[in-house]
Amino acid sequence: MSIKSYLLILFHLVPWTLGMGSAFYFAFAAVPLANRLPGPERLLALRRNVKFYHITFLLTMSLMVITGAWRLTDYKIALGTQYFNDVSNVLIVKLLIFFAVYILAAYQSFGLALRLTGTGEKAMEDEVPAALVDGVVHKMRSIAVLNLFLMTATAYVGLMLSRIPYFK
Amino acid sequence: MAEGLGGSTVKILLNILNLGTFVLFCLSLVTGIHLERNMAGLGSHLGWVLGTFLLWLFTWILSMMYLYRMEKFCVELVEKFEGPNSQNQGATLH
Repeated sequence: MSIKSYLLILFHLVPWTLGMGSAFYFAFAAVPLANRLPGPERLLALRRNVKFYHITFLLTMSLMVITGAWRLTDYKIALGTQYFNDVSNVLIVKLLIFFAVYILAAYQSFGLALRLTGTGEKAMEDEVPAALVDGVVHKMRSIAVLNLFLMTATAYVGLMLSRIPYFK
Repeated sequence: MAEGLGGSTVKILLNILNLGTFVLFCLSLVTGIHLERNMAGLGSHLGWVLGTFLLWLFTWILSMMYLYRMEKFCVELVEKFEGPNSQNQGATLH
């Protein structure tokens, strides 16, 4: 295996680890700790964590997609037309699971979190009712936990993909 | 009512565009088997993969922002450049 392939695997797995870590942190550390704080401080803590979590999670997901797509060229170079027979089924499953992760992350980031953080310069000054914060944070936390399971499933399918012998 | 329909149409079109660019990216993943014969096209193939991915990312962020919060963002932009009451002069975006 070439150094390039090793590096691609490394840059595929490190973002996966970071993404899993940030989702785990958000679901099991950030939200429970923020919920212990009183009203305005709780909202501020949630906003700070949400802003960190969004960027980290979406960036790591994007890095995973691009390094994964790049690494597939190794299979194409080695397998040629056999690529479709050997890789397609596993790849379709992996892409479908990952697409679900991406859609959920999009809903989490743009659909839910922006209700807390808002958009634009005045966002951090906006008042958000406590009931809305409760509902939004509960959904975001559930999605983070669901994404942890889905990303574990993606990793399992990725291991199946890595077992395909493609070196001649 | 017409404005609401217009907004919905834009949202639907943006989401269709988002799915379309995702399909394009998936297509880029199944192309490139010619590299088995000749490595000369590796750079252009990787450019094609990266380009379709960035295109998908762009339309994805655009559709998500518009779907959920772009309207509020637009109002804030208008307020910033034209004053706090400017949105009352025309149709509201909410």
